[in-house]
Amino acid sequence: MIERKTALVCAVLIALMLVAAVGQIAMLDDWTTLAVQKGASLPSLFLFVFPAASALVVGALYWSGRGARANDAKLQPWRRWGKFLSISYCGGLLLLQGVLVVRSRGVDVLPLDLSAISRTLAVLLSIMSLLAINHMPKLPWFDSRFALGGDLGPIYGPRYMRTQSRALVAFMIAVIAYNLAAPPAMGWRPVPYILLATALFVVWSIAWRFHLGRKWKLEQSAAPRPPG
Amino acid sequence: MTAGQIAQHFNFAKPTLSAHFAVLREADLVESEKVGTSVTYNLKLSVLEDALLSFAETVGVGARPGGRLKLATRRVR
Repeated sequence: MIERKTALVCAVLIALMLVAAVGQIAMLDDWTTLAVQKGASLPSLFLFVFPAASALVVGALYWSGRGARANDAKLQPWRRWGKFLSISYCGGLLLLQGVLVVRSRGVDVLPLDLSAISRTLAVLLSIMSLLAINHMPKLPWFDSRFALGGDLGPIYGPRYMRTQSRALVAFMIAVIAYNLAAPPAMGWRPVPYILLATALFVVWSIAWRFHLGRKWKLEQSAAPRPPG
Repeated sequence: MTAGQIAQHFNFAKPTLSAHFAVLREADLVESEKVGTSVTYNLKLSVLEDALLSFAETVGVGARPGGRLKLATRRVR
């Protein structure tokens, strides 16, 4: 959940990522391949992964706030949380993309290996996401008009949020552990697996939400109604 | 857990307990929802706090004789 102002700041950061990606691709001799360092290359479309991931997160946060059925006092902590998460996420990915672009132009700004820099940024980004997700169960639950699976109610809503946060915290810990422990030669190869894991998580999350929504609906219809 | 169910675990009058819960709610430590005629209280813990508490319970750190208070605290979900 984010305010319009935060969404605009994130949109500017995403636009910068897109400009950097298009600018870099336009300058390539072979536009399909991006040479990131000696002997290593990536498909140049990879430059669009970061703005796409940022747009997905910011869009989901903005969309979740559009149909919120809650008072302002309940939404305020969510706005603060969303602001922290969205701006630092987009900023982190912009930095990561900046490193990629600078190195692919052959400029050695830092006397460090690209994988070391990207790994450090990935760890910092994961720690920041972990801290934000860790705090999610402490935020007030609210129902949304456009929620998949319908209302979850005051019992299943917080339970859904808690389960989702636990799964995401476990995922983030795995990402941090991988970035710290994996051998340097792994490069960008695990990225498709991370994207696949994310897609599976989204599917599981939707299915779990539908299940809880149906459960809450059944309980509501079975509950005794007041006379009259 | 409803206010009535929590009150069964303590030797306080229900209004006293309600006042205590109002303070906890103000401090954003618990959240309450009115379901029908009863009020349900939920303890708000972050994922890592919850994991640490579960770990502490598993290894017995901070256990009280009989463990009654701790059990009540955990049931406030």
